[in-house]
Amino acid sequence: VSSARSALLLVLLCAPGNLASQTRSHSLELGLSLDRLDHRDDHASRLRYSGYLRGLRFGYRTETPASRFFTGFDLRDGSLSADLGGEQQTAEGSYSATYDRRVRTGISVGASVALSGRLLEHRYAIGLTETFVGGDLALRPVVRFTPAWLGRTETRVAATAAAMVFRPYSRAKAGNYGSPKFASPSTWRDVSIAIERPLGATGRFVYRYGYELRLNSHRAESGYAAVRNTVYFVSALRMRDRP
Amino acid sequence: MKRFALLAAAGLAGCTAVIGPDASTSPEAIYDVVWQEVDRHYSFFAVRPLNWDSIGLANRPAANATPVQLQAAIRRLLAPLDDPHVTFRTHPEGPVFQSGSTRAHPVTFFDMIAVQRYVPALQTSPSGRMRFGKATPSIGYVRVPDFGGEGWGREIEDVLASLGQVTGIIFDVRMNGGGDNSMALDIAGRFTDSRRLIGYYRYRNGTRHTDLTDFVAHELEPLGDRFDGRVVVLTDRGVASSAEDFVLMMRAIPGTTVIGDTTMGASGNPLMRELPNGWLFQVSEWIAYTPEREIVEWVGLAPDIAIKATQQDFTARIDRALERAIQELSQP
Repeated sequence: VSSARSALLLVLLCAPGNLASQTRSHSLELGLSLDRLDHRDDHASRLRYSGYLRGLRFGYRTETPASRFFTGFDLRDGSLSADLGGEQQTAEGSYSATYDRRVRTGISVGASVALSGRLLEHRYAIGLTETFVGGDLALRPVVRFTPAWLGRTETRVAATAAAMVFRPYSRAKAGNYGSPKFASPSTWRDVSIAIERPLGATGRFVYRYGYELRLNSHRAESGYAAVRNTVYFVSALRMRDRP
Repeated sequence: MKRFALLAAAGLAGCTAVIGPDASTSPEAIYDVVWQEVDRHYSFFAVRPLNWDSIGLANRPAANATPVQLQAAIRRLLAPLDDPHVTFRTHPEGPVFQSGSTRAHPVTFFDMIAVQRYVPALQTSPSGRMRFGKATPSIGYVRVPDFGGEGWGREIEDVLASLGQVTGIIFDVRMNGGGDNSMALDIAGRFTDSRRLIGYYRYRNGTRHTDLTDFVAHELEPLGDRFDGRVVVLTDRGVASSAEDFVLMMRAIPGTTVIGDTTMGASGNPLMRELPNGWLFQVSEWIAYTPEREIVEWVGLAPDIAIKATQQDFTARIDRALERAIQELSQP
């Protein structure tokens, strides 16, 4: 809780309005991603399910040399399978907003707020299906590294400090998690590291690619654990810079 | 690029550390998973206590052997639950073990050939799920053998249109073992003029055997064009699960009479689970109650007019329940 409070304080102190005097760039982003997801969701099955999710991202980014703000939607879908099990059709959506501010050369610190939802249709080998839903609202401190020795590579590290987790049992009215519950890092662990590099630019378009590793586990009555490897490509349309 | 590759390799290597190793497929481990899942999810422990620890320990030694002996141990473990919604199978298309199978396969003497003596020109709905015809010029007959599948419940409107100007409908759900209760709601919704309470569910929602949700109301909502004539529902011991829900729905509507035998009393909504070796089993995860908060399981739903088919009737192709239904609907 104290880390969450610190992150929130940081966001408030670093409000974008404080930087109005600096040159600010704006861009609209469209991204494509491919996730390799390995997870075990005890609500649905004790087996590990794995597969690939295709993703699409829409975003808006504005930055100055000293700060960056990004907000965007991510949509993903795909199918997971287990060697001896059925199939899990998965659809995910999230909205996030991230703000960070340079605190030292090559290091920016900030926070992200993300609202995520997940729909999982589990088709058992005999053909019956059961649908599971879940979601969370998470506050994540973010650190962004851009030291000179890494060249143009940017590294971002984030970890959930506090979350409201909605993880109902298979039928929404049945579970203790039918309504959102507060989860601290002791039960809801969620860390990610991403590295990103520019790929090039043509006219007002800038291209980037990246890789993100995200580890997530939820220790509760019915546990959840996931490892997500994501590769992505982003095309950003730079809009006219404004002072 | 080297950094990308290093991070990706770390991610893939960390997979097992985060998700944990694959579950053991040893016979004891499989047996233990079944025991634990039933212990964790089965709803009827709350109203029919069993010494689940003892039952589990008594059968566990026999599980530590061949797959065939493990299957036998799991069947012996599940048998005392006496619940037709508790099933176990080793292959998706293989034979199914059903706990409470004696209850699940009652002798009812229902005979569709006998029905055709009373309703000679039976037609079939587009999906093939319903058969219908006229018992008399003013009495329609609709046979629903099960509520399996999806999306066909609204065909009841076509069926009613085909029957034309009838003043009464006989719904025959005898030997209907259930299926998807949304099909039952789709059909029954055409017979009510307002939202009606049809019963309650309580879900298992915790680790203790007595952990259940509060009573969750289950309601029937009006749908489409309403049939406002009188309705008789025919039942017998073979009516189970969603078909019992259908009986609850129809008997909540004024003017409906239930004729026949008491239903099976098999009402638990099954939760499917996978075992680490791919075998499948399911357990009941709710308790169904009537609007008066009486448990449906094991007890069943008693008819308004009790008529039990006999072997003599079966041999003579006489359907006394259907005869009584026609008589009821013929009265002004």
